[in-house]
Amino acid sequence: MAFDAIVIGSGMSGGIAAKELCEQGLKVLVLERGYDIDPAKDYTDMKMPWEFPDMNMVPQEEVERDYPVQSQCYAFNVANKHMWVKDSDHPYTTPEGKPFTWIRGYHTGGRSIMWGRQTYRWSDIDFEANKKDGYGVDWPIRYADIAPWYDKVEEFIGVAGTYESLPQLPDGKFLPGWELNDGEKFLKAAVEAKFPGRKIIIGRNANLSEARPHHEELGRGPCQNRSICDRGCSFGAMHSSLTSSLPAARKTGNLTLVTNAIVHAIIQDPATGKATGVRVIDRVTKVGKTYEAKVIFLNASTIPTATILLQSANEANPRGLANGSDQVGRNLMDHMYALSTAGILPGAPMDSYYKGRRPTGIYIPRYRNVTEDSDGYVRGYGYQGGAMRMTGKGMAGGPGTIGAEFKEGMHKFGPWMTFISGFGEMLPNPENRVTLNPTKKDQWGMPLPHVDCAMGPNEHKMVKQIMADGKAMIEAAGGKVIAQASEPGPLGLGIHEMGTARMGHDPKTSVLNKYNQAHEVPNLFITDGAAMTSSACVNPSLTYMALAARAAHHAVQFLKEGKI
Amino acid sequence: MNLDRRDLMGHFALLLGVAALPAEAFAAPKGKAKGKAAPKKFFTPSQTALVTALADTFIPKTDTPGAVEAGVVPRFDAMMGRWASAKTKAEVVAALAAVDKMALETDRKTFAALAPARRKELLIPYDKAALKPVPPPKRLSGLAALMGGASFVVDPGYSRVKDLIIGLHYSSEASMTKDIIYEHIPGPYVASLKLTKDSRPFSGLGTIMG
Repeated sequence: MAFDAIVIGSGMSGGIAAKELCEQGLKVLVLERGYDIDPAKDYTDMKMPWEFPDMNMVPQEEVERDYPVQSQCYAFNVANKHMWVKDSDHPYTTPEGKPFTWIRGYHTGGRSIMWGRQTYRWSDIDFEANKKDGYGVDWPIRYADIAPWYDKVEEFIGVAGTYESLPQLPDGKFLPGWELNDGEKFLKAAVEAKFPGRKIIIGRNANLSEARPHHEELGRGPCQNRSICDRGCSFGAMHSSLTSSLPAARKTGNLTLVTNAIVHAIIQDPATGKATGVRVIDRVTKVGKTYEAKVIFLNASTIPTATILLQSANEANPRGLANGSDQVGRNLMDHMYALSTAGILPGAPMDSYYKGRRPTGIYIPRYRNVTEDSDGYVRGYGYQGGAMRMTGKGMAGGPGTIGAEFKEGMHKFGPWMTFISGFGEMLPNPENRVTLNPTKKDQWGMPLPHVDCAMGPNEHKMVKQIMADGKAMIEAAGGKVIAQASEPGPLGLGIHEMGTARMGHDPKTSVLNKYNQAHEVPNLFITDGAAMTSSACVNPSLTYMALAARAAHHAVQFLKEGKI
Repeated sequence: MNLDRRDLMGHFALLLGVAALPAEAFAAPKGKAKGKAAPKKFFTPSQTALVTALADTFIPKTDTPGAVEAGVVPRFDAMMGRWASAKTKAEVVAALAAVDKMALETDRKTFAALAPARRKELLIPYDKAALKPVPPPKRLSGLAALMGGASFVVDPGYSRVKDLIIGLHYSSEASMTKDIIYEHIPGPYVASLKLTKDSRPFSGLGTIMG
């Protein structure tokens, strides 16, 4: 069968690329390296908690042997173990003393099945940042270029949120946002009174607070407030590639999905410089195969996208495909993560509780270097968190409380507790880099990715203020801080890898142009995290999807015009 | 209605108004069922009796199910065989032995052989001493610093045993349907709910958000 386009990767950005290309009439082949998820069999969201063995904890020795990295993700458990890669089957290397916690899911839909669903637009403050302070290269686009695509994607996937008119966090096309609980309202009032310019809003999330007709057409219904999204959602309330993008692509009749197809390389015609196809290895049989198409979208996710380009080296491009700039694999970024402060709010209303497990928390948009100066660093950070009544074992009594008294304590409502966790922007740094391990290969004969990434001085300075501000905001509400992280979690655990094939104006310093088109390979488009020129401090998935939709539009246009 | 031996014992306990039974009452029947191999047990019979007694002391039957009734003991046993690492197994076995040692030293009886009231009387000071916080062995960073600060105690093995029993109980069907109620499909989120004297927390799962 002849294909107009090949999309490598079926996850968050690949799914949208496939949908948009299919809807514009192209015959599209999506290549997924993992297995095909069958919601009827692989979703476990209809099982009751007691149906999972061992309190939903994966056996300790199995974790140590097969999941030492994946198990560090908050969402890893028995119910969804099959959605995380076995680290033992998919090794990668890092330098001694520089860990990188690479969280992965190899199956249809990729990590969009288990994502945290926080969905934010970037602003011009983000798109202009590199140019303004001189780190990295200038983004070749601004907010106005991507805004219509944000609109389109938000309406399609369904994003719940509130309208706030903040320059650093543009409003979008929202479904009704979830409501703050009384503890959060208390915190919001106190923080906003003491710190004008700081806002506490409900987290914007890709769960359907209401299902619109176009959602229902895809079999999607409203969120049931279960907060077990990472098992797959049988209600289709959470956006994932599997729930929304791929079904929409399939509806056109133009989609072909091939699973267990591990992409080894993109083939380039030396005469034209164009990509002609993709060489894959079957995950199970290890048999090689080549697929051809007029356009290639590379959406394998940030690290594999870089390794595929590097593995696609040829005589004319010995450093790797589209790598004349030597930027492929460089500028790897993640968000600083787990910078959490927790405290008790004695003043919050003690006669109030809530019902349901809301699929989002609170969000405190960036204010440093926006409405407030920073303590000697560029860029900034936001916070995610929430407030809840303290209940359970902690409330049932301390050491020595056992028996009926303990059980009675389990029925008590303690004070409100809040936690806020900083997400800090990381600067692009060419030394933070993905390369191919020169000696070690995986079971498919491909070089292992080697990930060398560390925080720099700007990040370290920012950490101090993230923690100080966290404490100050809880104390502003009369709260008492009871615990605080001392440093960020390991890089990678933000699960927002970005930057290894960046967009830019200049082919000498960037891999992609303003259309996400490779400067050196005109029919190759990259719209996953690799394309990001900087990292901002908000969750990036929405931006990947908007870039994917925008690039698909231009790719079709260029095809029609005979430019590619 | 199909009642097994454990169910029957529970019914008798209810009829007699007994809140805590001696461990022997809940011990597995001796011998194998005909034609069906008994699943391999992790705990020895005496350890099973001790775990049963501990579970019953931590979470006795009241107006809501107790840990024994909720099936914690066989699930704990299965968990040790299936989930626990060699290190955890050793830690748990040692912690159980230490509880029995304490009972033998004070009352010259195994913990399981003690009357329920005496078990509780002995376990309260033991629990206090075992769960006394100690400084972490190394500097914690990231989330570990946030969440792990309170998890370093004098006797981590005992802490583990207690946590597993409590965790298994409150994640059991009995507890989640009759005590701390779990709603699998809550439906619309209610952001503000007025508490009354009869209000109880809902069982949470999968999130720490309100």
